[in-house]
Amino acid sequence: MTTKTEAGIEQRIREAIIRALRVPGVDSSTPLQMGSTPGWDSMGHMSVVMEIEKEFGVRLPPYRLPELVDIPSIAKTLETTSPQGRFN
Amino acid sequence: MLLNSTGASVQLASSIDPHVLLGLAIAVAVSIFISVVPQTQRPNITIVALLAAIAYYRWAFLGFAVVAGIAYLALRYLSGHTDGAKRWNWACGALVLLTAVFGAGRIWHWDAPVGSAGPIPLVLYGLDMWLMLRLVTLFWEVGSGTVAAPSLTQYVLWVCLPFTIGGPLLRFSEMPETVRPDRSLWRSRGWWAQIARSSALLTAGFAATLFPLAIPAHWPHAHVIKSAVLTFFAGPFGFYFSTAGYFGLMEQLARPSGFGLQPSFCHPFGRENISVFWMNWNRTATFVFRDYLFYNRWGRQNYNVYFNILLLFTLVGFWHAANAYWVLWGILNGLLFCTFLLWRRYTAAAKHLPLRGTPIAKTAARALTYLSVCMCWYLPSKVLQQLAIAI
Repeated sequence: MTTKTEAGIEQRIREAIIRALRVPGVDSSTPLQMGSTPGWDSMGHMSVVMEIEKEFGVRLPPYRLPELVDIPSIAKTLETTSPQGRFN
Repeated sequence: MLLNSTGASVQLASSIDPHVLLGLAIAVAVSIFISVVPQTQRPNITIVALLAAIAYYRWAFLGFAVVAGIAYLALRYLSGHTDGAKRWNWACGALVLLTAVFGAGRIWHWDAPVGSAGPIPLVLYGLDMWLMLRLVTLFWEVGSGTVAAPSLTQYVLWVCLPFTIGGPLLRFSEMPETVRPDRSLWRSRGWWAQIARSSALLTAGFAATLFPLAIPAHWPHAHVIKSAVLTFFAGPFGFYFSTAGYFGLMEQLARPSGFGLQPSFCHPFGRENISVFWMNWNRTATFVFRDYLFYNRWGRQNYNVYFNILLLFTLVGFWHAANAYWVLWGILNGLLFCTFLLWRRYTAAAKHLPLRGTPIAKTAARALTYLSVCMCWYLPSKVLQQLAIAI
């Protein structure tokens, strides 16, 4: 079950992705996923990563970046990443 | 190995390599043995893989074992660090060292025999392109804490697995926890259809490389035609078909033994741009380079996509072979990719472009991508030829 805080985090992630990719006409029900969302390919991926880092004030370690392929995976990674991007 | 070409052009790389046939024969034998012979009547699967590696490397096995053994000791040491940041730093150091050893070994031919034991040449070093890539992924995964350091038997099985020994790649994190052979596949029509498809690709790849030989026999003065056929048809398709066929067969042969390999080639030719081409070419290897190099910021806050692309492709070239042809090939591909990115940025900003989105533009994009890929294979050999003449 998704809590209110989790829903808030997912919404912030969604908005950060939309900002990074400049995807027009995306509503809250449109799934955002690497490979299927326009602009979210290997090149667009780094824009998404940097926008997420800016939004949450974190630094993601390089080995986590390939795992960030959709909103749930980003939320899961953020849970285990402290602001300095150190290991937990 | 198919991609381990040291020749001056891709045409040479796709000629029939006895190592490919040996690798296939071993993979077939192991696949049948593991999936058909009941577990109680055959040796442990790790021993089977070890024997397969000995058969594959023959007298070069000692060198392979020395490198794989040292890497294992380093991994055990690495996994002893409980502090994640320290472990990652050590892993990064190990990766730099491994790359340096790989490069030096290729430049100074450390894999040459250092003596002989009776009739058997003595080789004390062996780090081929696929073992190198496998070890890179393992150091990365153990260093990042994605996986724990493997036990010795797990490691031997993974590093000697006959379905990946000469490519494609199976990351350690993708290894099944328990190997469950599936003998029912031998009765599956779908599986046999995949085997037939991959075999046909492999045969077509070999045939494509022989095709240009027929031209001088019939038209001895048709140099331009021969060159064009080699550059735009026989070379690229021969290389693609033979590699895709070989990797496809490995993917299928691994399945009855209980190993799932990711597909390596997904119709790369005819794609709309160079980025999509690379997303579908030799994917198990390409994705490692993408994940570890392309997404890397080298400890900095900012990200320079052009630097990463040039570095990535130069290293991919060097990974194929330490010679001028492959390094030039890498640089050319890097420049091509950077040009594509600049073009994409320009077209995204431009409001009106003639023919944008039309079938003509799409067809032209596909044709241009294919021609560019072919030219990246062809031009280095031409440039080196001209340089040799000039000198």
